[in-house]
Amino acid sequence: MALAARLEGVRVANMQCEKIEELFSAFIEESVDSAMKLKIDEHLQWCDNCASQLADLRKVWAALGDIPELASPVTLHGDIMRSLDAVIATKDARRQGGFIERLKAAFASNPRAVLAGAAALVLLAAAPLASMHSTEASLTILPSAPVGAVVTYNANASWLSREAGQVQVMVTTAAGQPGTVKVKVELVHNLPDSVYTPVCNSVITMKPGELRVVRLNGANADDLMHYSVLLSTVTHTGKTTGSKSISISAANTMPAP
Amino acid sequence: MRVPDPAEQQLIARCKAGERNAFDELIRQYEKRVYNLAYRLCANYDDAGDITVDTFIRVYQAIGLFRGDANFSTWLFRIVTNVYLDRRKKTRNKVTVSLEEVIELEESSVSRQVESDAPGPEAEAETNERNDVLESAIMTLPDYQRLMVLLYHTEGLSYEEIAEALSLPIGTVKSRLNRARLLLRERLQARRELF
Repeated sequence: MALAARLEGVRVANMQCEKIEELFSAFIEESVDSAMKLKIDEHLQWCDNCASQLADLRKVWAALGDIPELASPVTLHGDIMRSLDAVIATKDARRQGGFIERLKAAFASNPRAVLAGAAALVLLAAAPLASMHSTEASLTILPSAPVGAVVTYNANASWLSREAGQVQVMVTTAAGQPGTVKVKVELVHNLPDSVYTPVCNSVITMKPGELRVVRLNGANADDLMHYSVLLSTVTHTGKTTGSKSISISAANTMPAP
Repeated sequence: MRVPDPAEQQLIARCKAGERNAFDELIRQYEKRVYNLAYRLCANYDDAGDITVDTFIRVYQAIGLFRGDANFSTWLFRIVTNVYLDRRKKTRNKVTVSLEEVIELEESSVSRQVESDAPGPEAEAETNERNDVLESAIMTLPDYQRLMVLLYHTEGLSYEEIAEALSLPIGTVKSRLNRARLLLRERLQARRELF
């Protein structure tokens, strides 16, 4: 009986210790109410274990506040900014893609309205651009004599960046035409003596009512005004016809919507 | 909760407007703290650098969603935490090599040599032994406890801010932090002469 009572006494004491332990942090921070503080003080007077634990905890607490700051690597800021710039550049490129995607969606749902709107705009990119920035614009041409079908060219040219020297051209064909049509998209350099020097070209086969984006590389971004984009159709015999030239100049350009 | 700093609010507004220079400034203000927290979470210098970079990329992508109800640092540390936990999830399935692993050779056996990420002897000598022991003990805490200890004791966040950063009730934060401190005390018993 006496042993049971003693064991019960130990159990109660341990329970008290556990309960007190739960309040150690609040006790150190003095956020326990006065009645509880009194109980803990009383407990600590007879419980050496809790008193010792609390003393240790105070020391650990103090040490935690003294942990020195680590020196960060000297390259850290540069690493962060480089990664951030890459993200910004990707976002810019996506924004351009978004513009094209929006046009594609609009074109699919109502090509006439899009082409009419684009024809009213008559625009092409050419504004001098800062590095890493881009400008978009578009140009609509109704070719005089397309072969095989009535083709509408709707071109959108943009400089992705000065470094890239790339022109992005959007070509569309009018809906409701019979068969496919081959379209040649060519980037040419207008030399001072008016002779065109081909830079690069791309021939694509397009279905009626289709929109394609052609990227032409190799332009000198510092000499933007001396380039043109030539659009033409290619017959089944390989002959090019119905060419239209889109000069890249300040006069026929305006910012994209 | 701390009163928002008007200069910082202005800087964040510029960041929201997409000003690169503003981001540059904001990153300079916080990169060291983010790196410190990241290192103490992952215990690896390279990973800490990666977490820091990823954190600021997420900040850039999400700054428009920062409403300013919370302190920026609270919001930022929440991102650090998420980046760390995401990375840990990804690397959890990676094959690990035990330091105790023994490579069997034909005639004898040698212990595998593993390159350590810890600082070299010179750097180690410069650091205070007590802090080393303490930091090692912090590293042994479970993730959530370690995070709370770091946010409270080294980053100086309040219980309310930690609760907000970790989306936990404040009572939970207090009780977990208390348990974490007790666990630390227990693990430092063997080296109590240092404290």
